[in-house]
Amino acid sequence: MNCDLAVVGGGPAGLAAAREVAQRGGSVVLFDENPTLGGKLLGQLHEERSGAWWKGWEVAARLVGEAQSAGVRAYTGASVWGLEPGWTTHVAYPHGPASGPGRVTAKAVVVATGAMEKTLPLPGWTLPGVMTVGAAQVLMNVYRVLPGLRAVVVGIDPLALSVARQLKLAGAEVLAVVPPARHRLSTPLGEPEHVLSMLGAMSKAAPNLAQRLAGSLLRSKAGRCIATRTPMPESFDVWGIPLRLRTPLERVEGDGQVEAVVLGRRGANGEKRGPETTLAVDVVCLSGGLTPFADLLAAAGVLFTNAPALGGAVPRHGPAGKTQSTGLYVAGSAGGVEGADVAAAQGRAAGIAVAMELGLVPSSSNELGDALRAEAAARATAKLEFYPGAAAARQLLASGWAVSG
Amino acid sequence: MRIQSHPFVPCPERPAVEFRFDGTAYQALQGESLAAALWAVGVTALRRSDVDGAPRGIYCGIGHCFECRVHVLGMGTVRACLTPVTAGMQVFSARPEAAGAE
Repeated sequence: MNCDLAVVGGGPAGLAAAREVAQRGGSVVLFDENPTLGGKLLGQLHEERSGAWWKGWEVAARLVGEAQSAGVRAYTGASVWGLEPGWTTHVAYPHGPASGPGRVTAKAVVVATGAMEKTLPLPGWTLPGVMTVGAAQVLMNVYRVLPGLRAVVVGIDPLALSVARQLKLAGAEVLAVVPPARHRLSTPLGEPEHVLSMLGAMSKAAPNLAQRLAGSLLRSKAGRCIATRTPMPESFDVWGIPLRLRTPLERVEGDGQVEAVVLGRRGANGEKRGPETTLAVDVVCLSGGLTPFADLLAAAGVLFTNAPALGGAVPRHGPAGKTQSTGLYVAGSAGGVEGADVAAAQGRAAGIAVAMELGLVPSSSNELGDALRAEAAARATAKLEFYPGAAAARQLLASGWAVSG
Repeated sequence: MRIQSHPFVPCPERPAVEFRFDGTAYQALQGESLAAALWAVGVTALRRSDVDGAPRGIYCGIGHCFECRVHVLGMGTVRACLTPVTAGMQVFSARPEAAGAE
């Protein structure tokens, strides 16, 4: 099969990119591994500052409708396992009968494969019942299945806090949100300075937390340095959820599945102090942080750069997601972890850039400039910031691209 | 277990179907993931580790980690979190010949 654009990933970025090209007359195919289009929008749920609740699945339905109305041919249950210059995408259908083509050659490709969770190894983490916050979100909000009756969430960050709140809405008791204990395999997640910077980031999503933390002070590096010389606060309640910063999770216990967690006790400067406590739980949700899932781009030869504020290793790209390879674009969290609104705006920009490359949009048009400005606006008004400093990291990436391409 | 009431998440409009896991029959909602269907009926262990035989189940829930791999008759090894359940589906925690099934 031949087409103008192949899109890998049917979340907000992929759907927006597909729509833009199809609306301008390009032939577009889109592949997604999941049984339903919409990507991670399908499980997202949070409260806006206005008090209204934002439901990702409703946004997904709208984006899917727009793409389909524009004539995008979308295939679900489709795993794109190969990408060759030319561009040829290789597709498998492992979860059901083959519902689409096995090989498509396209003039352009947008890779919008999203993000993955980094692992958070802890003793006992392989027990059934230990899952990522993402897994819990899918169970609850996509399939309406309760992850557990008594939960502990591990990781102090905006996603962990959001999922903890969703667990409560679903009917679970959330006993605590705690940092992971430090051990020889641990990342900075349990370190006091990281925890404090995450609290600063979370203050954007939780206004009452911001008030109690004087959030803007903590968000600056100077503030963090000052704050870590004073005793780290012990605990906060946010939305009725206990954040317990000084009782890190040491290990998970159970016979055949999760039955309990053991929490350590830390003093003001992170030193061990006092006995451990055991809490009976039936689910443990780990939040190791999100990082771009961009294996296809790596396989296609795209170079990566390290951007901690965008989740880690990020494929190098310029405005509108253009990579160094002609016709290959990245959009959404695969190019750096941000929220759904930013992802959709990036998809729109990438789609317009592809349409220009295909000659479907005159080079004199303002459409691309408008789309890039809309992306910046989405970033500025983002409701959920995964890591502090995404905007600054984008600027750094952009200046690096301008210099070296 | 399934969520009894939720202020925002709508009830799935899927017909009930029957499937089997390691020979035992369970009820599911057509088209939901095998991982969700099994979690809903309290089955948390989907396989045994090749290394030490310890029970393993859902970890990432989004198709990246392969911890939830199960064997479906007629399909082979699949990720339970990405595989929609269909009526009469036969699912195993190990290959059927190891379980003594057809």
